[in-house]
Amino acid sequence: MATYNKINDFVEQSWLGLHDMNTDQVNLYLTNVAPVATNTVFGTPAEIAAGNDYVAKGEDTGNVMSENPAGTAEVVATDITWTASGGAIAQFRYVVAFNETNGSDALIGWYDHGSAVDLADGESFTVDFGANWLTFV
Amino acid sequence: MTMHNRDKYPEIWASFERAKEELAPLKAARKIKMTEMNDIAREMDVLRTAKGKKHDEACVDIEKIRELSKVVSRLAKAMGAKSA
Repeated sequence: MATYNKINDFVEQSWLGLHDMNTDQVNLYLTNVAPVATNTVFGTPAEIAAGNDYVAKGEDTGNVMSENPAGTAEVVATDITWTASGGAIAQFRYVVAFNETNGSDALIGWYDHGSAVDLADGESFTVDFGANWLTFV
Repeated sequence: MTMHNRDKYPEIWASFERAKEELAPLKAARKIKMTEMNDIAREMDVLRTAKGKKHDEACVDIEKIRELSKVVSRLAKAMGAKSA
């Protein structure tokens, strides 16, 4: 999996109680604009246009947090697969995580695929979270 | 007999008393707002509990969703899908 990049504000907002990584819905969205660590809320960077099975505001990660092992917390997430259907999905390079539940749609982090991705009709892009997504120690 | 600090340090004691007098109404005013805030927090707790219950309901099939999502991801990769 590509390297996880932290949004700086995520740390502060977590301690201010904005994020509940267990019961809040964390979504991933696609963008072709490079995120920077100082971004704070969904929309900057702008997501790609919805269409051809890319839904606005992306997909739910099915995130659940638990204490594992003792004294640490891990977030487990569900793999996401986008498959272009009926046409191409707009070009993207970055995958951005944000909190869909809180009012401000606060950003969490992002991944850089390393090059632009074009999905023609029937082609897919996956995000594989492995055994767990995030660990807080 | 131990001498009272008021007599032992009269100047410091006077400053101490003045500071406490100035502090008391500030703390009292804060306490009113903090009590109101805590009342709101208790209302939020009720909503937080309701949210947690709804989350539990949403997670009834999460293991199956996770398993099938992994299958979809694996099959997509077998067909050449790019991956983050």
